[in-house]
Amino acid sequence: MTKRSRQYRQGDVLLTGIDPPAKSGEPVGPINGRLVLASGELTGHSHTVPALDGKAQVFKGPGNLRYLLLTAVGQLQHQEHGAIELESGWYEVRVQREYDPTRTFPTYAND
Amino acid sequence: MQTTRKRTVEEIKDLTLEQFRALETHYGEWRAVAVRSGPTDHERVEKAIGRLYTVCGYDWPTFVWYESPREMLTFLATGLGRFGRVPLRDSLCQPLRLEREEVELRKCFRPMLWGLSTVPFGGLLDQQPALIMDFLPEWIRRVMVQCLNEIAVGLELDWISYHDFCERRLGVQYEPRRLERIRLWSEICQTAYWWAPYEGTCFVSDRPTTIHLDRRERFHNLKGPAMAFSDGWSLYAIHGSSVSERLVMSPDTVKLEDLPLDTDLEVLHATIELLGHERFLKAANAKLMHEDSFGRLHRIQFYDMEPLLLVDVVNSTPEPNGTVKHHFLRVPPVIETAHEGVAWSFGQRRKDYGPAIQT
Repeated sequence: MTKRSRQYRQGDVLLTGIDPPAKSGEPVGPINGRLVLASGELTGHSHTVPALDGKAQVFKGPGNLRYLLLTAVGQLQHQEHGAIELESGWYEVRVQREYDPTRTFPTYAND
Repeated sequence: MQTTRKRTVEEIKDLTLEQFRALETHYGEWRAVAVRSGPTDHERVEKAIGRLYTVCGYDWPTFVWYESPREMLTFLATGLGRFGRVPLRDSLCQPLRLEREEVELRKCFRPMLWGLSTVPFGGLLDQQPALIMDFLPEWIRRVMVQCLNEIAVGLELDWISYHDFCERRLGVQYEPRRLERIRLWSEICQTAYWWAPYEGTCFVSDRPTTIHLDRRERFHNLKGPAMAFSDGWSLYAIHGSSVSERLVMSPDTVKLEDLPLDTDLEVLHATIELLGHERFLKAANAKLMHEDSFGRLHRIQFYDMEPLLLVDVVNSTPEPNGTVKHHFLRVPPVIETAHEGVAWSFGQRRKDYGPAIQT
Protein backbone atom coordinates (compact mmCIF):
# COMPACT_ATOMS: atom_id res chain seq x y z
CA MET A 1 0.00 0.00 0.00
CA THR A 2 1.47 3.38 -1.00
CA LYS A 3 1.57 6.34 1.35
CA ARG A 4 -0.88 8.25 -0.85
CA SER A 5 -3.55 5.54 -0.85
CA ARG A 6 -4.25 6.20 2.84
CA GLN A 7 -4.12 9.97 2.63
CA TYR A 8 -7.18 12.07 3.41
CA ARG A 9 -7.66 15.81 3.39
CA GLN A 10 -10.39 17.69 5.17
CA GLY A 11 -10.01 21.45 4.61
CA ASP A 12 -6.72 22.45 6.17
CA VAL A 13 -5.98 19.09 7.81
CA LEU A 14 -4.17 16.18 6.15
CA LEU A 15 -4.22 12.64 7.53
CA THR A 16 -1.66 10.18 6.20
CA GLY A 17 -1.60 6.48 7.15
CA ILE A 18 1.79 5.53 8.62
CA ASP A 19 3.54 2.66 10.38
CA PRO A 20 3.48 2.94 14.20
CA PRO A 21 5.76 5.88 15.14
CA ALA A 22 8.89 5.18 17.19
CA LYS A 23 7.79 7.77 19.73
CA SER A 24 4.22 9.02 19.83
CA GLY A 25 4.38 11.60 22.65
CA GLU A 26 1.81 12.62 25.26
CA PRO A 27 -1.82 11.55 24.71
CA VAL A 28 -4.42 14.27 24.18
CA GLY A 29 -7.63 13.74 26.18
CA PRO A 30 -11.11 13.84 24.62
CA ILE A 31 -13.48 16.79 25.12
CA ASN A 32 -17.13 15.75 25.39
CA GLY A 33 -16.28 12.40 23.83
CA ARG A 34 -14.42 13.92 20.88
CA LEU A 35 -10.71 14.12 20.08
CA VAL A 36 -9.72 17.47 18.61
CA LEU A 37 -7.10 17.24 15.85
CA ALA A 38 -7.08 20.95 15.00
CA SER A 39 -9.30 23.90 15.79
CA GLY A 40 -9.89 27.28 14.16
CA GLU A 41 -8.98 30.25 16.29
CA LEU A 42 -11.36 32.55 14.44
CA THR A 43 -14.31 30.32 13.59
CA GLY A 44 -14.25 28.07 16.67
CA HIS A 45 -14.78 25.14 14.29
CA SER A 46 -12.63 22.05 14.69
CA HIS A 47 -11.56 18.82 13.03
CA THR A 48 -12.53 16.03 15.41
CA VAL A 49 -12.75 12.24 15.72
CA PRO A 50 -15.20 10.53 18.11
CA ALA A 51 -13.18 8.94 20.95
CA LEU A 52 -15.13 5.63 20.57
CA ASP A 53 -14.62 4.69 24.24
CA GLY A 54 -10.83 4.67 23.86
CA LYS A 55 -10.74 3.01 20.44
CA ALA A 56 -9.46 6.32 19.08
CA GLN A 57 -6.47 8.08 20.62
CA VAL A 58 -4.53 11.24 19.72
CA PHE A 59 -0.90 11.84 20.68
CA LYS A 60 1.23 14.96 20.49
CA GLY A 61 4.14 14.72 18.07
CA PRO A 62 7.04 17.06 17.44
CA GLY A 63 6.09 20.67 16.64
CA ASN A 64 2.56 20.96 15.34
CA LEU A 65 2.36 17.28 14.38
CA ARG A 66 -0.27 14.95 15.91
CA TYR A 67 -0.69 11.17 15.68
CA LEU A 68 -4.05 9.43 15.56
CA LEU A 69 -4.45 5.74 16.48
CA LEU A 70 -7.68 4.00 15.55
CA THR A 71 -8.35 0.43 16.70
CA ALA A 72 -11.79 0.53 15.06
CA VAL A 73 -13.28 2.33 12.08
CA GLY A 74 -13.48 6.07 12.85
CA GLN A 75 -14.75 9.23 11.24
CA LEU A 76 -13.11 12.61 10.70
CA GLN A 77 -15.66 15.38 11.21
CA HIS A 78 -15.87 19.17 10.80
CA GLN A 79 -18.71 21.71 10.87
CA GLU A 80 -18.07 22.95 7.30
CA HIS A 81 -16.57 19.94 5.52
CA GLY A 82 -17.90 16.52 4.60
CA ALA A 83 -17.05 13.65 7.01
CA ILE A 84 -14.41 11.08 6.02
CA GLU A 85 -14.50 7.41 7.06
CA LEU A 86 -11.14 6.24 8.43
CA GLU A 87 -10.03 2.63 8.62
CA SER A 88 -8.14 1.47 11.71
CA GLY A 89 -4.40 2.12 12.02
CA TRP A 90 -1.94 4.90 12.72
CA TYR A 91 -2.23 8.31 11.07
CA GLU A 92 0.00 11.32 10.97
CA VAL A 93 -2.04 14.56 11.30
CA ARG A 94 -0.72 17.73 9.66
CA VAL A 95 -2.26 21.21 9.70
CA GLN A 96 -1.86 23.38 6.62
CA ARG A 97 0.66 26.20 6.89
CA GLU A 98 1.42 29.27 4.81
CA TYR A 99 4.60 31.03 3.84
CA ASP A 100 5.04 34.25 5.79
CA PRO A 101 8.39 36.01 5.35
CA THR A 102 7.49 38.41 8.18
CA ARG A 103 7.54 35.58 10.72
CA THR A 104 10.20 33.17 11.92
CA PHE A 105 7.71 30.40 12.67
CA PRO A 106 5.19 29.06 10.14
CA THR A 107 1.66 30.39 10.10
CA TYR A 108 -0.95 27.65 10.32
CA ALA A 109 -4.30 27.96 8.68
CA ASN A 110 -7.32 28.11 10.98
CA ASP A 111 -10.59 27.52 9.21
CA MET B 1 -11.33 44.71 47.43
CA GLN B 2 -11.00 48.32 48.61
CA THR B 3 -8.20 48.44 51.18
CA THR B 4 -8.77 50.71 54.14
CA ARG B 5 -5.28 50.76 55.73
CA LYS B 6 -2.82 52.77 53.65
CA ARG B 7 0.51 51.09 52.95
CA THR B 8 3.85 52.10 51.53
CA VAL B 9 5.07 50.67 48.24
CA GLU B 10 7.90 48.83 50.06
CA GLU B 11 5.37 46.91 52.18
CA ILE B 12 3.88 45.20 49.12
CA LYS B 13 6.00 42.24 48.06
CA ASP B 14 3.56 40.49 45.75
CA LEU B 15 -0.05 40.54 44.60
CA THR B 16 -2.68 38.03 45.66
CA LEU B 17 -4.62 36.07 43.07
CA GLU B 18 -7.63 38.26 43.81
CA GLN B 19 -5.55 41.36 43.16
CA PHE B 20 -4.28 39.90 39.89
CA ARG B 21 -7.87 39.39 38.78
CA ALA B 22 -8.71 42.94 39.80
CA LEU B 23 -5.65 44.11 37.85
CA GLU B 24 -6.94 42.48 34.69
CA THR B 25 -10.33 44.20 35.09
CA HIS B 26 -8.61 47.46 35.94
CA TYR B 27 -6.49 47.44 32.80
CA GLY B 28 -9.51 46.42 30.74
CA GLU B 29 -11.22 49.62 31.93
CA TRP B 30 -8.20 51.76 31.10
CA ARG B 31 -7.83 50.13 27.70
CA ALA B 32 -11.41 51.17 26.99
CA VAL B 33 -10.51 54.75 27.96
CA ALA B 34 -7.56 54.69 25.54
CA VAL B 35 -9.79 53.88 22.56
CA ARG B 36 -12.89 55.85 23.53
CA SER B 37 -14.54 57.95 20.83
CA GLY B 38 -17.34 60.50 20.89
CA PRO B 39 -17.91 64.12 21.88
CA THR B 40 -15.38 65.94 24.06
CA ASP B 41 -16.56 67.88 27.11
CA HIS B 42 -14.51 71.10 26.63
CA GLU B 43 -15.50 72.60 29.94
CA ARG B 44 -14.49 69.51 31.90
CA VAL B 45 -11.17 69.24 30.04
CA GLU B 46 -10.31 72.91 30.54
CA LYS B 47 -11.14 72.68 34.24
CA ALA B 48 -8.84 69.67 34.75
CA ILE B 49 -5.94 70.99 32.65
CA GLY B 50 -6.21 74.51 34.11
CA ARG B 51 -6.19 73.08 37.63
CA LEU B 52 -3.10 70.97 36.81
CA TYR B 53 -1.34 74.10 35.52
CA THR B 54 -2.06 76.00 38.73
CA VAL B 55 -1.16 73.23 41.21
CA CYS B 56 2.13 72.87 39.31
CA GLY B 57 2.78 76.60 39.73
CA TYR B 58 1.79 77.92 36.29
CA ASP B 59 -0.89 80.44 35.32
CA TRP B 60 -4.25 79.25 34.06
CA PRO B 61 -3.71 78.95 30.27
CA THR B 62 -5.67 80.11 27.28
CA PHE B 63 -7.20 77.12 25.51
CA VAL B 64 -7.12 76.64 21.74
CA TRP B 65 -9.29 73.81 20.47
CA TYR B 66 -8.91 71.74 17.31
CA GLU B 67 -11.16 69.14 15.76
CA SER B 68 -8.36 66.67 15.05
CA PRO B 69 -4.66 66.08 15.82
CA ARG B 70 -3.92 66.89 12.17
CA GLU B 71 -5.47 70.34 12.55
CA MET B 72 -3.56 70.86 15.81
CA LEU B 73 -0.24 69.69 14.36
CA THR B 74 -0.71 71.85 11.26
CA PHE B 75 -1.05 74.87 13.51
CA LEU B 76 1.93 73.86 15.65
CA ALA B 77 3.96 73.33 12.50
CA THR B 78 3.53 76.92 11.38
CA GLY B 79 5.52 79.81 12.79
CA LEU B 80 2.50 81.03 14.75
CA GLY B 81 2.23 77.76 16.64
CA ARG B 82 4.85 76.53 19.07
CA PHE B 83 7.60 78.92 18.02
CA GLY B 84 9.00 80.74 21.04
CA ARG B 85 6.76 79.02 23.56
CA VAL B 86 7.93 77.14 26.66
CA PRO B 87 6.76 73.51 26.56
CA LEU B 88 5.34 72.24 29.86
CA ARG B 89 4.54 68.57 29.24
CA ASP B 90 7.76 67.36 30.80
CA SER B 91 7.20 69.44 33.93
CA LEU B 92 3.51 68.49 34.28
CA CYS B 93 4.43 64.81 33.89
CA GLN B 94 6.79 64.80 36.87
CA PRO B 95 4.30 63.38 39.44
CA LEU B 96 3.52 60.46 37.10
CA ARG B 97 7.08 59.20 36.75
CA LEU B 98 7.77 56.02 38.68
CA GLU B 99 10.24 56.07 41.54
CA ARG B 100 12.67 53.18 42.09
CA GLU B 101 10.44 51.28 44.56
CA GLU B 102 7.45 51.75 42.24
CA VAL B 103 9.37 50.24 39.35
CA GLU B 104 10.09 47.22 41.56
CA LEU B 105 6.42 46.86 42.54
CA ARG B 106 5.36 47.16 38.93
CA LYS B 107 7.37 44.05 38.10
CA CYS B 108 4.78 42.11 40.17
CA PHE B 109 2.09 43.34 37.75
CA ARG B 110 3.26 40.92 35.08
CA PRO B 111 2.34 37.49 36.42
CA MET B 112 3.43 34.41 34.52
CA LEU B 113 -0.07 32.98 34.74
CA TRP B 114 -2.10 31.82 31.80
CA GLY B 115 -5.41 33.53 31.37
CA LEU B 116 -4.34 36.87 32.82
CA SER B 117 -3.18 39.86 30.84
CA THR B 118 0.56 39.76 31.31
CA VAL B 119 1.20 43.08 29.61
CA PRO B 120 -1.12 45.96 30.55
CA PHE B 121 -1.24 47.80 27.25
CA GLY B 122 1.09 46.11 24.79
CA GLY B 123 0.95 48.07 21.54
CA LEU B 124 -2.46 49.60 22.26
CA LEU B 125 -1.17 53.04 23.22
CA ASP B 126 1.51 53.26 20.54
CA GLN B 127 -0.78 52.40 17.66
CA GLN B 128 -2.71 55.68 17.71
CA PRO B 129 0.28 58.00 17.21
CA ALA B 130 1.65 55.52 14.66
CA LEU B 131 -1.56 55.48 12.60
CA ILE B 132 -1.95 59.26 12.81
CA MET B 133 1.65 59.73 11.71
CA ASP B 134 1.07 57.43 8.70
CA PHE B 135 -1.75 59.67 7.46
CA LEU B 136 -0.06 63.03 7.95
CA PRO B 137 1.55 64.91 5.06
CA GLU B 138 5.32 64.48 5.10
CA TRP B 139 6.10 68.03 6.28
CA ILE B 140 3.71 67.82 9.26
CA ARG B 141 5.02 64.37 10.13
CA ARG B 142 8.49 65.86 10.46
CA VAL B 143 7.17 68.48 12.88
CA MET B 144 5.33 65.83 14.86
CA VAL B 145 8.58 63.91 15.34
CA GLN B 146 10.31 67.09 16.50
CA CYS B 147 7.68 68.08 19.05
CA LEU B 148 6.42 64.65 20.14
CA ASN B 149 7.79 65.14 23.65
CA GLU B 150 5.84 68.40 23.91
CA ILE B 151 2.45 66.76 23.24
CA ALA B 152 0.50 64.44 25.50
CA VAL B 153 -0.58 61.71 23.06
CA GLY B 154 -2.03 59.22 25.54
CA LEU B 155 1.14 57.29 26.37
CA GLU B 156 0.82 58.69 29.92
CA LEU B 157 -2.07 56.26 30.47
CA ASP B 158 0.51 53.63 31.26
CA TRP B 159 1.70 55.53 34.34
CA ILE B 160 -1.74 56.83 35.30
CA SER B 161 -3.36 53.38 35.30
CA TYR B 162 -0.49 52.07 37.44
CA HIS B 163 -0.91 54.78 40.08
CA ASP B 164 -4.69 54.43 39.96
CA PHE B 165 -4.42 50.71 40.76
CA CYS B 166 -1.88 51.24 43.53
CA GLU B 167 -3.93 53.94 45.16
CA ARG B 168 -7.44 52.53 44.84
CA ARG B 169 -6.84 48.76 44.83
CA LEU B 170 -3.63 48.24 46.78
CA GLY B 171 -4.14 51.07 49.26
CA VAL B 172 -0.74 52.65 48.64
CA GLN B 173 -0.16 55.85 50.56
CA TYR B 174 0.68 58.77 48.22
CA GLU B 175 1.98 62.17 49.19
CA PRO B 176 -1.19 64.37 48.99
CA ARG B 177 0.19 66.95 46.54
CA ARG B 178 1.41 64.25 44.19
CA LEU B 179 -1.87 62.37 44.46
CA GLU B 180 -3.84 65.48 43.52
CA ARG B 181 -1.77 65.89 40.34
CA ILE B 182 -2.09 62.21 39.44
CA ARG B 183 -5.86 62.43 39.80
CA LEU B 184 -5.95 65.49 37.58
CA TRP B 185 -3.96 63.63 34.93
CA SER B 186 -6.42 60.76 35.26
CA GLU B 187 -9.33 63.15 34.73
CA ILE B 188 -7.64 64.73 31.71
CA CYS B 189 -6.92 61.37 30.07
CA GLN B 190 -10.51 60.30 30.49
CA THR B 191 -11.88 63.42 28.82
CA ALA B 192 -9.35 65.01 26.45
CA TYR B 193 -7.51 63.59 23.46
CA TRP B 194 -4.13 64.95 22.40
CA TRP B 195 -3.08 68.17 24.10
CA ALA B 196 0.04 70.27 23.89
CA PRO B 197 0.69 72.33 27.04
CA TYR B 198 2.83 75.46 26.71
CA GLU B 199 3.28 78.32 29.14
CA GLY B 200 0.22 80.55 28.81
CA THR B 201 -1.46 78.47 26.08
CA CYS B 202 -2.73 74.92 25.84
CA PHE B 203 -3.62 73.39 22.45
CA VAL B 204 -6.18 70.59 22.67
CA SER B 205 -7.68 68.21 20.11
CA ASP B 206 -11.16 66.71 20.26
CA ARG B 207 -11.48 62.96 20.62
CA PRO B 208 -12.12 60.88 17.48
CA THR B 209 -15.78 60.55 16.55
CA THR B 210 -15.25 56.93 15.47
CA ILE B 211 -12.85 54.15 16.37
CA HIS B 212 -13.10 50.60 15.03
CA LEU B 213 -10.92 47.77 16.34
CA ASP B 214 -10.54 44.08 15.59
CA ARG B 215 -10.67 41.30 18.20
CA ARG B 216 -7.07 41.98 19.14
CA GLU B 217 -7.76 45.69 19.68
CA ARG B 218 -5.96 46.81 16.53
CA PHE B 219 -7.38 49.47 14.22
CA HIS B 220 -9.50 47.65 11.67
CA ASN B 221 -12.49 48.37 9.47
CA LEU B 222 -13.25 46.90 6.04
CA LYS B 223 -16.32 49.08 5.50
CA GLY B 224 -15.14 52.57 6.42
CA PRO B 225 -12.56 54.53 8.37
CA ALA B 226 -10.94 52.84 11.36
CA MET B 227 -10.67 56.24 13.03
CA ALA B 228 -12.36 59.53 12.10
CA PHE B 229 -12.54 63.05 13.51
CA SER B 230 -15.24 65.71 13.42
CA ASP B 231 -13.35 67.77 10.80
CA GLY B 232 -13.78 64.85 8.40
CA TRP B 233 -10.23 63.53 8.70
CA SER B 234 -10.50 59.76 8.26
CA LEU B 235 -7.86 57.11 8.77
CA TYR B 236 -8.10 53.62 7.30
CA ALA B 237 -6.56 50.42 8.63
CA ILE B 238 -6.79 46.65 8.31
CA HIS B 239 -5.74 44.62 11.35
CA GLY B 240 -3.54 47.47 12.57
CA SER B 241 -1.88 48.24 9.22
CA SER B 242 -2.69 51.59 7.68
CA VAL B 243 -4.17 51.33 4.18
CA SER B 244 -5.32 53.82 1.56
CA GLU B 245 -8.81 55.28 1.55
CA ARG B 246 -9.29 53.93 -1.99
CA LEU B 247 -8.77 50.33 -0.91
CA VAL B 248 -11.62 50.49 1.59
CA MET B 249 -13.98 53.01 0.04
CA SER B 250 -13.50 52.50 -3.73
CA PRO B 251 -12.42 48.87 -4.22
CA ASP B 252 -13.24 49.02 -7.95
CA THR B 253 -10.50 51.57 -8.59
CA VAL B 254 -7.78 49.91 -6.51
CA LYS B 255 -4.29 49.79 -8.00
CA LEU B 256 -1.17 47.84 -7.09
CA GLU B 257 0.12 50.63 -4.82
CA ASP B 258 -3.07 50.41 -2.71
CA LEU B 259 -2.51 46.77 -1.81
CA PRO B 260 -0.83 46.18 1.58
CA LEU B 261 1.34 43.36 0.25
CA ASP B 262 4.34 44.27 2.38
CA THR B 263 2.62 43.32 5.64
CA ASP B 264 1.57 39.98 7.13
CA LEU B 265 -0.76 37.17 6.04
CA GLU B 266 -3.66 38.35 8.16
CA VAL B 267 -3.75 41.68 6.35
CA LEU B 268 -3.28 39.94 2.98
CA HIS B 269 -6.26 37.63 3.54
CA ALA B 270 -8.45 40.46 4.83
CA THR B 271 -7.60 42.47 1.69
CA ILE B 272 -8.55 39.51 -0.53
CA GLU B 273 -11.81 39.17 1.41
CA LEU B 274 -12.49 42.87 0.93
CA LEU B 275 -11.85 42.91 -2.83
CA GLY B 276 -12.90 39.40 -3.81
CA HIS B 277 -10.33 37.09 -5.38
CA GLU B 278 -10.85 38.12 -9.04
CA ARG B 279 -10.59 41.84 -8.32
CA PHE B 280 -7.59 41.25 -6.08
CA LEU B 281 -5.70 39.34 -8.80
CA LYS B 282 -6.49 42.04 -11.36
CA ALA B 283 -5.37 44.90 -9.08
CA ALA B 284 -2.19 43.02 -8.20
CA ASN B 285 -1.32 42.37 -11.88
CA ALA B 286 -1.04 38.68 -10.96
CA LYS B 287 0.39 36.30 -13.56
CA LEU B 288 -0.88 32.73 -13.82
CA MET B 289 2.23 30.54 -13.54
CA HIS B 290 0.75 27.06 -13.48
CA GLU B 291 -2.55 25.24 -13.28
CA ASP B 292 -3.37 21.62 -12.43
CA SER B 293 -6.04 19.65 -10.58
CA PHE B 294 -4.70 20.94 -7.25
CA GLY B 295 -5.24 24.63 -8.04
CA ARG B 296 -3.84 27.67 -9.88
CA LEU B 297 -0.48 29.14 -9.01
CA HIS B 298 -0.27 32.96 -9.33
CA ARG B 299 2.75 35.20 -9.08
CA ILE B 300 2.63 38.83 -7.97
CA GLN B 301 5.61 41.16 -8.21
CA PHE B 302 5.22 43.94 -5.63
CA TYR B 303 7.89 46.52 -6.45
CA ASP B 304 11.34 45.21 -5.44
CA MET B 305 10.05 42.83 -2.78
CA GLU B 306 10.24 39.04 -2.82
CA PRO B 307 7.65 37.77 -5.36
CA LEU B 308 4.38 36.73 -3.81
CA LEU B 309 3.23 33.25 -4.90
CA LEU B 310 -0.37 32.30 -4.19
CA VAL B 311 -2.08 29.00 -4.89
CA ASP B 312 -5.78 29.48 -5.58
CA VAL B 313 -7.41 26.38 -4.10
CA VAL B 314 -11.12 25.59 -4.18
CA ASN B 315 -12.98 24.02 -1.27
CA SER B 316 -14.09 20.46 -2.13
CA THR B 317 -17.23 20.88 -0.05
CA PRO B 318 -19.63 23.44 -1.62
CA GLU B 319 -21.16 26.19 0.52
CA PRO B 320 -24.83 25.78 1.64
CA ASN B 321 -25.87 28.13 -1.21
CA GLY B 322 -24.15 25.91 -3.80
CA THR B 323 -21.16 28.19 -4.49
CA VAL B 324 -17.59 27.08 -3.97
CA LYS B 325 -15.22 29.00 -1.78
CA HIS B 326 -11.80 30.01 -3.10
CA HIS B 327 -8.86 30.29 -0.79
CA PHE B 328 -5.44 31.72 -1.49
CA LEU B 329 -2.49 29.99 0.05
CA ARG B 330 0.84 31.83 0.14
CA VAL B 331 3.77 29.54 -0.67
CA PRO B 332 7.55 30.14 -0.96
CA PRO B 333 8.83 31.78 -4.14
CA VAL B 334 10.73 28.62 -5.19
CA ILE B 335 7.49 26.69 -5.80
CA GLU B 336 6.85 25.88 -9.49
CA THR B 337 3.49 24.09 -9.62
CA ALA B 338 0.17 24.27 -7.77
CA HIS B 339 0.59 20.60 -6.77
CA GLU B 340 4.00 21.32 -5.28
CA GLY B 341 2.62 24.40 -3.48
CA VAL B 342 -0.26 22.55 -1.80
CA ALA B 343 2.08 19.66 -0.89
CA TRP B 344 4.49 22.18 0.68
CA SER B 345 1.65 23.65 2.73
CA PHE B 346 1.28 20.24 4.41
CA GLY B 347 5.02 19.72 4.79
CA GLN B 348 5.04 17.07 2.03
CA ARG B 349 7.04 16.53 -1.15
CA ARG B 350 5.04 16.62 -4.36
CA LYS B 351 5.42 12.86 -4.96
CA ASP B 352 4.09 12.10 -1.45
CA TYR B 353 1.01 14.30 -1.70
CA GLY B 354 -2.21 13.11 -3.33
CA PRO B 355 -5.15 12.56 -0.98
CA ALA B 356 -7.50 9.71 -1.89
CA ILE B 357 -10.44 11.69 -0.48
CA GLN B 358 -10.81 15.47 -0.08
CA THR B 359 -13.74 17.27 1.50
